[in-house]
Amino acid sequence: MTVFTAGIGAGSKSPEPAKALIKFLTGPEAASRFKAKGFEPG
Amino acid sequence: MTAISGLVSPNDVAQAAELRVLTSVALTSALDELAPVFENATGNKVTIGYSLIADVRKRILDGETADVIILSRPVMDELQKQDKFAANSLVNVAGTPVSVAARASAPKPDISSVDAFKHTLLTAQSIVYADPAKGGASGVYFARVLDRLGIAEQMKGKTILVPGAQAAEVVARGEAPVRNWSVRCPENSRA
Repeated sequence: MTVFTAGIGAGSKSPEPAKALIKFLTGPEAASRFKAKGFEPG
Repeated sequence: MTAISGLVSPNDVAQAAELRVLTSVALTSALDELAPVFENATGNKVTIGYSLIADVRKRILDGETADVIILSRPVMDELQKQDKFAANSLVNVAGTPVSVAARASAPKPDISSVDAFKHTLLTAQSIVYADPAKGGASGVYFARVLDRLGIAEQMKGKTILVPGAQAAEVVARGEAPVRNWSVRCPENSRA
């Protein structure tokens, strides 16, 4: 199993939207779509 | 702007931003579908650059940056030690098993046990997987599997290495003999 991890780039000029994107990618809607593509969420 | 229930509230994003994401080609199918959902929910624009993990890693180490970077955990931990990310921002997003696929006309590969998997590989006419030298996650992993099975040398003569995530396409196109096994990540499941 390869686990993919997200991080906010140190030089990001949009850290809050970046944080929101990561929150979305780790949320339930993204989880169901990841599963549909053959991934294990989280 | 449409709120996604329980996921992103208006307070999460004060104003629309253009987010640049750098990530692995392994996540292409999922992120290409998820990015528009996030964009519609927040008004933010997401631009995603896909490449092999080793390539993205090198680019980050060479000074390239992005708003969000998504790579395999060991690489992210390594980059974190180089202060490439905001403090405490690393979060696991998804995991991907390495899978085995055969052409539709070929028998289903028996991978029910280590011995069966080893036999399947040894009796296959050829196999195809991502070139580990290019740094793709599944290729690096599978090369280690062959080593651990003790058949790396035996498999060399019938192994086709592809530069990226094209293993399943090679099998599906019939560019290798019928009894082929494609070792691939699950996003390339068209074979």
